[in-house]
Amino acid sequence: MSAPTRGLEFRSVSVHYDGRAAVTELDLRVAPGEALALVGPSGCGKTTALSLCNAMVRPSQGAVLIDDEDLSQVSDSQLRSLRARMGFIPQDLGLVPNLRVSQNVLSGRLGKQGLLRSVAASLSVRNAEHERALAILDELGIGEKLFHRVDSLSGGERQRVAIARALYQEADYLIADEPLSALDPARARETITLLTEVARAKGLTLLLSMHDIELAREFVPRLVGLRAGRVLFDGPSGELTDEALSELYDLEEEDRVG
Amino acid sequence: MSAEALAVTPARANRRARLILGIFLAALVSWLALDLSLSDALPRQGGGSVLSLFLEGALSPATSYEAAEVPAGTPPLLSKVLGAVWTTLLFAIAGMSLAVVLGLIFGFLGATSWWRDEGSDAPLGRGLLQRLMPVLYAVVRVWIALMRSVHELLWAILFLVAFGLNNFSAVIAIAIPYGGTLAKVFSEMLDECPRESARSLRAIGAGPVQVFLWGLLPRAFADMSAYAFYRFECAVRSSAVLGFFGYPTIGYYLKLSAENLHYREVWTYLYALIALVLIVELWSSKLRERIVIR
Repeated sequence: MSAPTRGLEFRSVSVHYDGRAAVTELDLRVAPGEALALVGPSGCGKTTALSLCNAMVRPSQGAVLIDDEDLSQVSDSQLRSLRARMGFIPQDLGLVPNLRVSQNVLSGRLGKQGLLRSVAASLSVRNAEHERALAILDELGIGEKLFHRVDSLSGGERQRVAIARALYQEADYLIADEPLSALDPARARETITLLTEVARAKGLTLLLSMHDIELAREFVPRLVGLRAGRVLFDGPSGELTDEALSELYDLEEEDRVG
Repeated sequence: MSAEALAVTPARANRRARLILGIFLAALVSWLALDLSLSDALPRQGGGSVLSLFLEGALSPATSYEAAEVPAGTPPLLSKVLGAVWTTLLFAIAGMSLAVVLGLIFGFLGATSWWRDEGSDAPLGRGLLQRLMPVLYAVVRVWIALMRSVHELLWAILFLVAFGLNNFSAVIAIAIPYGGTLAKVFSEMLDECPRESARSLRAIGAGPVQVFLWGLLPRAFADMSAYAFYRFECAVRSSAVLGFFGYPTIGYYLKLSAENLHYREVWTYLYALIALVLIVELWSSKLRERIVIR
């Protein structure tokens, strides 16, 4: 599905919230089809970094580029179509709890439809679209939940609905903010397996943020360690040394004291 | 938090004392100014017998006309009562159907979330209209306040004068203040509902209107419909009272019977109104249960 692209680039990006730096001089290049996890203690800037990718957060300095297009230079409609290429699963999943699974999954296409088309699509029960949604849910093992309300599902099932929505979107990127944080260890392992496998199978560029360094090391080929908004290390997860790891957390301890 | 922050400072205590004293004084002044005395709550001379006549009616509501002679061809009382109940309901439904449309339109436009771009930090406005939007929003809020600041009975007087005693003037007399109240409450419900679904849709490229319709409206919908049902109950009562101006609802017949001192007929209409309100309430609470819980 994905056309040849040059991927995502952060050029010396800084973000300040009310004078406080969330991310400082972040440089990052992600090639199409790559899988990458941002790791580090909470408050290190992972969520901000991910939100920069679809311009839900704007850089205070520097630039974020997708295929050499600066996100702060594009028009509103160009931004919409760029966003439609970025599947996004926020930490809270962003589902509508009192709607059915089908309606939540179908809303993944909103970015690719005009207003009138999306209204028309939601009024008619278009079998082709429901069948596609069902196929994706089946793939994720929750096909039988198609017409259940999201608020009747378990945490793991909701996670899958959010993934299904992102897949239904047919994006080039899959961005997930702390996708494992609300899950028990067994579910977390299952979900990270699912995410990495699905991304590989569909050729998606995968960007994650994660708490659990061990799972990240095991499943994600490239890790970027963030501490206090700066990149501490960036490389293949096999090369991540225990020293680098302890530095990440030791420094954080110092921060807390200071 | 330090102990200082928790302590009640003298200034704060003073302010609270002044407020309580002020409320108390306002109550006292109103009673004195109106020259209210509790003895007025007792029936006057002769009033006692009227009162007891009226209360007797409660125990034996009329099932046929109290008047000695009724013009030939007059329908029986009970079918007249049923007819009044029916028109009361019709006016309420017609008024509410227009009020819901007005409430949705102005409730959407009166919600800050309608004007806000979920993807930006600016409180209001997006794109080219950024400058204009706070003004439009303010105009809508004032418009909503105007709609509901005038009571439906006053609107009824206005439209009676303007359009005469036709059904439409009663319907819009209900629709305008009810539409305003619905708009105010709808807009607050939309603004108070959680925004994470809206943000997540914005993040994948949904347009502002799509974000509103798919991300916000579904989350507020249960509360909005429950409130609309409650307002429908109120509309039934308003519709009944509009009869005092001559519209053929329960209020009209109730007034006629009262003027003729036919208190047992008055009670028949009152009981009919109470039954109608209770039935509507039962029905709407059943519906609310289904929508909210399900």
